[in-house]
Amino acid sequence: MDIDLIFRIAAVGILVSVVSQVLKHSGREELAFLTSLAGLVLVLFWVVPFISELFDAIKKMFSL
Amino acid sequence: MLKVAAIGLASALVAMQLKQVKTEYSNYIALAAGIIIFSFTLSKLDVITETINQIQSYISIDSVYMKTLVKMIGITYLSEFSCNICRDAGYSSIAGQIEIFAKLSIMGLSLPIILALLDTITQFLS
Repeated sequence: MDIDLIFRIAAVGILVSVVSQVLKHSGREELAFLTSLAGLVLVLFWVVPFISELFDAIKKMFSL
Repeated sequence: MLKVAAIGLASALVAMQLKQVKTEYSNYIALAAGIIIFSFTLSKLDVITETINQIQSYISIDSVYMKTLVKMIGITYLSEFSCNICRDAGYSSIAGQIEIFAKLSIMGLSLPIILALLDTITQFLS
């Protein structure tokens, strides 16, 4: 939960950018787009449960 | 406190690095850092709400006022968090909308209290 989430996102970001660069230079544009999309989905998959947990905590804490 | 500062600093540096390579990931890192730091503030907020309830039990204040007070704090915190995330992403128009809605909802919350105040004043006068 702690700092490793940030480093994981950073790792995915760097990986996706490298892969998309390689794919761009090798001429396959749509694959580069797909890899960046996959990176996006992966990061969202990690971050969304935290967001829902955060909003539940706020709702419970402040009885909104 | 040290942990929060370290996490904030580390994520800022990593996000800065990722800004040139891929801009959207710096927003994700900012969001993740905000969530992690909020989980630390949560423990502090627990203590605050506990003391608020304790204070309320000592002084015989109507619980409605305390509840709306805590609700206002929650609304401001949530709108502040989402506004700043939207501004980081570069969409300050959305942040403005969230802010306006938060202000209106706080005003809506405080209306009954204003009415109660006016009632007591009119009772004193008449």
